Amino acid sequence: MAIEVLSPSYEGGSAEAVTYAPRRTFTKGDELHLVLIENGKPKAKQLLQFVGEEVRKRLPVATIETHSKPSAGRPIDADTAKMFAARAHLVISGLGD
Amino acid sequence: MAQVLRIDEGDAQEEMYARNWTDGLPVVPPTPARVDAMLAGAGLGATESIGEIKERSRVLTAEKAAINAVMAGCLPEYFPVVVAALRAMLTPAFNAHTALTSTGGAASCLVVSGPYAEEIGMRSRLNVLGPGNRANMTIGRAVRLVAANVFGARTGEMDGSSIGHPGKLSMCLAEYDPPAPWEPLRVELGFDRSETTVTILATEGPRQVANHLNPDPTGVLLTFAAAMRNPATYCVGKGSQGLVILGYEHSQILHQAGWSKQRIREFLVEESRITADELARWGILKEKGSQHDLGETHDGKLPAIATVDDLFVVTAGGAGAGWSSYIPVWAPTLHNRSVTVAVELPGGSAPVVDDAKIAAVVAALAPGLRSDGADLSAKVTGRRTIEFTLDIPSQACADCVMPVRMLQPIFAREVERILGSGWTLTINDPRDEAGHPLNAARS
Repeated sequence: MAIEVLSPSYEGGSAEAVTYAPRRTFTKGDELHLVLIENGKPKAKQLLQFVGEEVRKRLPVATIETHSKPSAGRPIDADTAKMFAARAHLVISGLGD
Repeated sequence: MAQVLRIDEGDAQEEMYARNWTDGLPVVPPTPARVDAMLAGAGLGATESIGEIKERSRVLTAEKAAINAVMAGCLPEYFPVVVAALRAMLTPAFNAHTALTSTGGAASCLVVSGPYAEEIGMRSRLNVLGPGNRANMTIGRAVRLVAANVFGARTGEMDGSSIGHPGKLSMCLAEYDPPAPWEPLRVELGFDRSETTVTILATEGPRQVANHLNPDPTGVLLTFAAAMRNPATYCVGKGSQGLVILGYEHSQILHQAGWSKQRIREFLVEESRITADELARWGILKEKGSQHDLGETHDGKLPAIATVDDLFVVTAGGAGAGWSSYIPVWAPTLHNRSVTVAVELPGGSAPVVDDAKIAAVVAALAPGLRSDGADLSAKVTGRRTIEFTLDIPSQACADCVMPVRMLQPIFAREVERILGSGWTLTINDPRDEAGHPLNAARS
């Protein structure tokens, strides 16, 4: 005998698509600002700073700014994301654990 | 409304396994009639919102909560408790996005305090954390099924537990009211004695605390402190919340010796502190330069429990040789806090909210808006629902007033601080999405 059951799963549609920050163009001679966002866990900062220095060897990175999240359990807020999007040529985020 | 599927009754279990709807155990098929009865158990309409996890852009409706409660095996009269637990879980301070995801593998531990727990047959005495009681087991299970089915907290998806523990299937107990002058948890947290509350904590597994021979209250509590300061517990030295379940003999020893619950908390918080050297003795290195770097303390000791208010002490469990339990929260208070929500019964009147409290919320929030020429009003529009309206007259600096997305968490914090947990709030903004006053000329 067939029975009807209701789906327990979420059906409200997918999350909003992420809008990428505008791609920034640069020409030879420009100096780049690199932002590193680390999640606050042990060694995350060291790992990302190592990556940042490796990027500096390959690209004309003039300044590197490291942002440490106060809690690995919470995302950066929208305004912080906008701020970095406005002033960084490149942002690298990652986690340590 | 939820998708309706027609399946053969004989194949129902296998079909639900195949759809990854279960927690590994069989579930009750959520037929429309059963779901309707569940909703009626809490007097909720199918489309009513229970809460959301913003980071996942997902909202929980009463219907989805009811479907999962049916599958868990709940009776309709349990559903008001399930709903309160889910409202607590979805309160921002609990940070469900992380609590349901972390490698630490936290359970959603529920403590039900109040007369309705006994009314629906919840267990608060023998085997209180063990199997055998339908209400305890299925209420906790319903919350976890919602986490999995609605919010994606499944292995291989958004649940990254490295080890996990059996409490992730269901972890729910009732507190029995302690003898006077001790107060039950709900009263200690500011609720009325006649109310029933659900407190949710994201926890590691329970540690059984055995002390069978020592009649001295200090001796009993030192045994608890030993469990609480175990270096293998992630939060020891970082400062989290924790739950002490005082078993019958231990609570008798402490109560008869005249210890207050506050004195017990203060003693345990102090005695569970630990030095970095002691942690190192057992192989644990202190974090430096990370989110959990507490720096140097005045006496070199680091906390297991963040503050005295972060330790919850309840009476539960049956008589025996002298057993209790300690359950640590899985992460420091930086990331997650327990939340307590009152159970609302169908047909019961909406909680009476003192006008003075609403005025206090407005008084706390309005000054920042008034300095920009704007103003704020608020009214309760439903069961634990509050509606704010921004008044931004033409002479006000509309661009100076923060957008709603920034006001929302600020308002939510004040609502929780003054009115308590479990409130849904809306903010009416007379500006358009770009923040311009509607009907205003734009350059």
